[in-house]
Amino acid sequence: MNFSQNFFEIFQIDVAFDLDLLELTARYQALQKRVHPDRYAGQGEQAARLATQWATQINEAYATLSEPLARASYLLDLQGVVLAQNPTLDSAFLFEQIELRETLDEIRQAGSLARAEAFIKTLAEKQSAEARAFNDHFKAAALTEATTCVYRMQFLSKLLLGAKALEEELLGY
Amino acid sequence: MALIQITEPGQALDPHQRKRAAGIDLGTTNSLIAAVRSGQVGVLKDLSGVSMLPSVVHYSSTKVTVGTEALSFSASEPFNTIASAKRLLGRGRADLDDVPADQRYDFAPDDGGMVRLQTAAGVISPVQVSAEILKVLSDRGAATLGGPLDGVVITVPAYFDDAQRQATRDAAAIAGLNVLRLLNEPTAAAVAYGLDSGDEGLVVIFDLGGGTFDVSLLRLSRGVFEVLATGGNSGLGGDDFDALVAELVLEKAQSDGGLDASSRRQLMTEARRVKELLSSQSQVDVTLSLPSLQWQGSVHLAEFEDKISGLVEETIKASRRVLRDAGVTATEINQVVLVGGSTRVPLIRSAVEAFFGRAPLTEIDPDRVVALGAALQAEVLVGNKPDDEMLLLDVLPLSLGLETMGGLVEKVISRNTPIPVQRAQEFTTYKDGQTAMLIHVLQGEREQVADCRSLAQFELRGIPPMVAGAAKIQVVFQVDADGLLSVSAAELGTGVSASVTVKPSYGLSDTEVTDMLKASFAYAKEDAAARMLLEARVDGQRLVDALRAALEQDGPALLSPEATQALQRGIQTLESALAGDQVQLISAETQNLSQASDEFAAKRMDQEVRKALTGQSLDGVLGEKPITAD
Repeated sequence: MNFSQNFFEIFQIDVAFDLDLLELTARYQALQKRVHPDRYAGQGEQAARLATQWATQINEAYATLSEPLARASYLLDLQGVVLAQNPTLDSAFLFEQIELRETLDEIRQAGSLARAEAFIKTLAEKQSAEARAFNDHFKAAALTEATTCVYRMQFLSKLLLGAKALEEELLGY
Repeated sequence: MALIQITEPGQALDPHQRKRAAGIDLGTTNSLIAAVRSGQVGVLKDLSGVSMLPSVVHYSSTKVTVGTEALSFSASEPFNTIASAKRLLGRGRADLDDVPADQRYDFAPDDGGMVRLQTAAGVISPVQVSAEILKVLSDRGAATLGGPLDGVVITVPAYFDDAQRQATRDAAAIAGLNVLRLLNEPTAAAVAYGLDSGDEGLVVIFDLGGGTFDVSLLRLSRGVFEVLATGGNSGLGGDDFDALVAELVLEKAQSDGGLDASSRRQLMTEARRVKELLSSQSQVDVTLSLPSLQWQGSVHLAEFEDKISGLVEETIKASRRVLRDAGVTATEINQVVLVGGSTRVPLIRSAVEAFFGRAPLTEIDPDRVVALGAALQAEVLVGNKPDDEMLLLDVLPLSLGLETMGGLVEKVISRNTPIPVQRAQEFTTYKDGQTAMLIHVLQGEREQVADCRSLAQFELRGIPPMVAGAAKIQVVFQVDADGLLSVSAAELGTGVSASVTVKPSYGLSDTEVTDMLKASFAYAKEDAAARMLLEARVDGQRLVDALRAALEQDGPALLSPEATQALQRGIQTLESALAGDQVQLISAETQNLSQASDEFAAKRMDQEVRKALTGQSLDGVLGEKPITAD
């Protein structure tokens, strides 16, 4: 198996952030139709192992490319950018993060489902704005700025997870 | 151990190559087997013309009986008559708190693992009970289709965890079945509906069976059935409705419920009758004459609905959660399909209709739809329909995680991740010279170890001694297309692969499965040696056939003449082994040829991948909603 292919090569699409998700899904399905273990059912261990390896790799590629933050991080990785564990971000952004965290805590205290849902929407919009900014910087080969966008998306993504967990809690799941 | 067999579209299959395939719905209350015959899918009947096999097994000291005959012992010998064994698969005693120990089952002393039952035939595992049911269905399939089955698809609730899936696999192994795939019940139902209509869009499968409840959201497009999210409760079903009717009757009769096991069974049978009648009438008369309880009266639909409203609300809540997981609203759903006998309850139908805002599909008998879908899928998987482009993409139903410090669970693979999937996690040693490590794998959504299902403990041994924190142990979790987990580990720095010893928390060890297999031979008076020889021959012949076809198709393009000749010699060696009756020689030669053809198989797979995206127009087939949008 050729694991040296990058995820864009697997789907034979251009290396870019703004990709056509419908096209990606169509290609994902076309590939899975060829390699999924179901196509080789009852054909023994060797076939099952190969098919499973390929199907796993294609799932991984699709999961990475279909999700904005994962896709952005992967693009930087292909450019040789090593993401920092504890990045330094500008204080304005950090202050905003602290405020957002406090808002989330308030919503938790209040136990308000409506506010939690509105908050999730706000975070998702911020996340989309960062994704658009990443796209512009990445196209312009401004990798430092693009990397900053990814760090910001990581922060927002963590907050979003917390907000969704709270929403689940409030929904009684 | 065979080389991959790739049939090009349009290539006809020899009629004599047609395989015998069947779909099996191994249900909590009833089980069914279905197959495609003369192009028509249908359930297979027993000699007396009955298709439903009650999932009940009776054990005596000399004999095992299954189905209706076993059911007749239900009241007289409740502990020797095992019903609803599906609820016990892969479950520990503590998971079954809702089943009082003095009722329904006589549990063997708890050893912390999967529950076992005391019967007249000794201590029996629920896996063996399920195997008995599978054997009866397999025999029925063989009798109807004119020979032993080449492969089966067995359905499981989508919400089944790893231990429950593994237990189902083990039961099939003991029954001597070749399992092509464990298929999720809702996916099977979608196949049964989807293939005829060729529908596209979002479909909800609402499946309320005897003992389990699943709700799944699928996206159908271009012949791909993709599970987007799944949820439910593997311990909620029609049995619970029966129990509530029984409770209602006891309340009305002002009984304290202190019944012996036999009376309890009779009460449950009566409760089921009442429940079923309440699907078509508004009131049912009841006459009970049990040793400790005499009562005559009636049960009204309104009382029943009041009693079950909590459970119905739970199913709607699970539906809401599945839609949320997939980021979809109820108005976007194109179809709702009802599966499982319990969806005949009018309150369920009206609640589902109210929530999704559309009348659910019920054209296919909800008791049969799963078996029919499984049969259609088995037909494709066994290779009888090479032109079929149908593909089922499933997800992991429950998150997989690891125990970390302080009894917390760290998620490694989250729920609704498409499978097969692989994730690696790195660990290090915390003591100088540490050579072993214990890893605890759990499944579930909660943060605390105590709130999740323990799947297994993995003991890593043979880590090279180093200072604390220097070893880098990579543990790889692989979930296959059946949703089954396997784990491997290696020390990255030295490349030493640590050996992994698996202790399944609620499963059977390989030795136990082998022992049960032997025991089942003793019962059936079947010749174990003959069966092993047969299985070895089937494996070997399959490899010979597949490799020969592959060489013809791709040999010239992918292999040097020398490599082709070497493989052809290998085929001859295996064929001469196949002509004899030495099981070990056949297995060894099969293994040899399989290894020798490994590289060829990999090359052919790569070629498949290249073909998938070339010469295929992807334009014009697009138009539905993307999975994510930003």
